[in-house]
Amino acid sequence: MGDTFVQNESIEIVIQRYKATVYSIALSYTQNQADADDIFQEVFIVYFKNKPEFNDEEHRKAWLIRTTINCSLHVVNNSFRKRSVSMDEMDEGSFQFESKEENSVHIALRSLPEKYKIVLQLFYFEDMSIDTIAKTLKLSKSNVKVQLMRGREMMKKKLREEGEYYGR
Amino acid sequence: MVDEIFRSMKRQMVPSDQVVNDLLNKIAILEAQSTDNSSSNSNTLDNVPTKEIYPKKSKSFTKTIKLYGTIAVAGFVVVTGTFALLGGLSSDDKSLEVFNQVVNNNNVVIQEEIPKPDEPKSNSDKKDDKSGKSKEDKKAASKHNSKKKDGKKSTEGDKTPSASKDKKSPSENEENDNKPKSTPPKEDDGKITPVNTPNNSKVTPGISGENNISWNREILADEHISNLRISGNNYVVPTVADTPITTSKVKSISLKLDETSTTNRATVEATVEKVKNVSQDFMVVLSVDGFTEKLLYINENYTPSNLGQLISDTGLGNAFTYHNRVMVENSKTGYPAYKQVRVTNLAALVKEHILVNDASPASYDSYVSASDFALFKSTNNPFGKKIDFGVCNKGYVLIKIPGTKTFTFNIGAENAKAFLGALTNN
Repeated sequence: MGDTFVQNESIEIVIQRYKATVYSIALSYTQNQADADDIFQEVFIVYFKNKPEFNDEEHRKAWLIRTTINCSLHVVNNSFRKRSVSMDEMDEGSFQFESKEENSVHIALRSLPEKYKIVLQLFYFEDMSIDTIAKTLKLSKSNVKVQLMRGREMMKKKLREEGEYYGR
Repeated sequence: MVDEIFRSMKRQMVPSDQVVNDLLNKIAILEAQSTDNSSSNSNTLDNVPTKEIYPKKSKSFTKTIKLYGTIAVAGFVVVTGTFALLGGLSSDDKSLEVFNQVVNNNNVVIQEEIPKPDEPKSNSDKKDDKSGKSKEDKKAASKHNSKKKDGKKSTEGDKTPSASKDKKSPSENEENDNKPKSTPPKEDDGKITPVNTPNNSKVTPGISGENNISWNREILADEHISNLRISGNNYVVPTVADTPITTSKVKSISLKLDETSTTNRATVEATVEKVKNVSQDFMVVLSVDGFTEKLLYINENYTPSNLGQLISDTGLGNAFTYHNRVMVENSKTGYPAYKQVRVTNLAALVKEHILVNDASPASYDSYVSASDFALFKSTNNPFGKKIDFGVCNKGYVLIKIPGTKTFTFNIGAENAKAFLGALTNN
C-alpha cells in the first residue's frame, strides 16, 4: 500500500494494486476460477461506477474487501448458479495450485464456515493485522482473535484427517 | 513451511492478464457510455453496493413480493393484452403477449403504449441511485411497511405513478376497450408456467400514498415477467446480462399491472430489444424502465438444425473468447478426476476442431457415455453470459447456454480426439 493516499486514483492503478486481494477472496468463496473472474470484474466495475470516496488507503481496501465478500456471497447463494454449475462441480479442486500441499490447504480453507474462512484469508493472505481485520469486518478485536484461533484449529483438524498436512 | 505455502498460494491467486484486460475493456466501454450518470458516492462500509450490482435481489424488491404475497398468496398470470410488434418478431400475426406472473388474484394487463396524462415524474426524478430508487422512496417504503404491518388500509392506487383502476383516465379506458388484439390469457396451453414464484417475504414495498414512490420498478423484475410469448414461441427468462450488451430496439410496450384486491395499478414502460448479432429466434431482451439490468429471454423452443446455425444465431462467430484453462478427464493418461490444464491457444483449437458448421444435433446421452472429456467456458459473448463447452472422445460437443439451454452436436470422433489430444499435449 502506498504511503500517499490519492482520492481519485486511476482505476488501472487500483486494479493493479488490489487485483490479488479481490481475486483471492473471490476464489476462496466461489471455489472456481470462472466465477472468481466474474466477481473480480464485477467488483471493479462497481468501484468504477460508484466512484466511492475514502478517508485513506486502508478504507479503500476495506471497501473492496467488503464488496468482494458481498459479491461472492451473492454468487454462491444464487439459485441460478446452483442450477448451472454442473460442469464446475465436476472440477474437484477448481483452482489448481502448483503443489498438492497448496491444494490441500486451499480445499481445507474453503470448507471452513464463512466467518473463519474470511478471517484466515485476510490474516494469512492479505497480511492484515487483527486490528485492521476487526475494522474491515466490523468485529471486535477479541472476536477476530477467537475466530482466528478456531479457524486455525479447524484447518489443522481437516488437514490431519485427510492425511494431507505436510506442515510443521 | 506453512508461511512458504501461504506465500506461494498468494502468488498464484491472481487473475489472468486476459481477465484484467477484459475488465479494462469493459470499463472503457462504460466510460464511453456514461453521460451524466451521477453515481452517488458512498464512503462508508455500510454503503457497499451489493444491491446495485444485483438489483433483482434488492430488499425493496423482496419487500414488494412480500406485499403482493400477503395480498394473495399463490401467484398466477392473467394476460389481457396482445401486442403488434413493429417488425422483425413475426411475419404472421406479429403479436407479442407478455405473460406476467404476479401473485394470486392479481391481474396483469398488458397493452400497447398508453398515454399517461398523470405521469407524475420522470425517471431521472425517481432515481438517484443505481437501483433506480430514491432515498425518499426508500423511506416512504419503510413507512408504508410499518403501516401495513399495523393493518392500516392504504389508499395506494391514487398516488402510484398511474391512476388507480377506479380512477382510470378516459383515454386509458377507451384504449383498453378499443384494443382489438386483446386476448384472454392462454392459461391452458401449458406454457404459462409459474417461474420462481415469489415466496420470499420479509418486507413490504413502497407506500402508494407517497408521491415519490416508484412502483414500476418495484413491481417488475425478471421473476415477475417470467415469459414472453412471441409468435407462438415461449421465451423464458433465464437471467440478467452480466456485462454490457449491445441491443437495438424492436418494440416499445407498456405493462399494466393490476391488483384485484386493492386499488393499486402501475403502468410500466418496457422495450423489447434484439441483441446485436444474436437472432431473435434464439433470444430477445426486455429492458424495463427503471430497472437497470436487461432481462434475457431465451426461446425455449429453439432448436438449431446444426452447430453452424447455433453459432450463427447466438453470434458466437463474432466476439468470442475463452478461459485459457480447461478441465480434462482422460482415462488413458490416468487422470483420476478432472485435471486443469492451461491452454494458450484454446480459441484456435476450438475454431479448428469444434466449430464444425455441419455438425448435426445429437442426444445428451451420447455425450455423457464417453470416457474422456474436456470442459471449458467462454468468457465473453454477445449476450453477456458465460457458456459451458464440453467435448468427449466419442465425438460430441455439448454447449450449455445459461439458464435452460443445452445443445449436443456430433462433430465426429476424429475432430474430438484431435482436440483432446491437443489439450493433453499442451
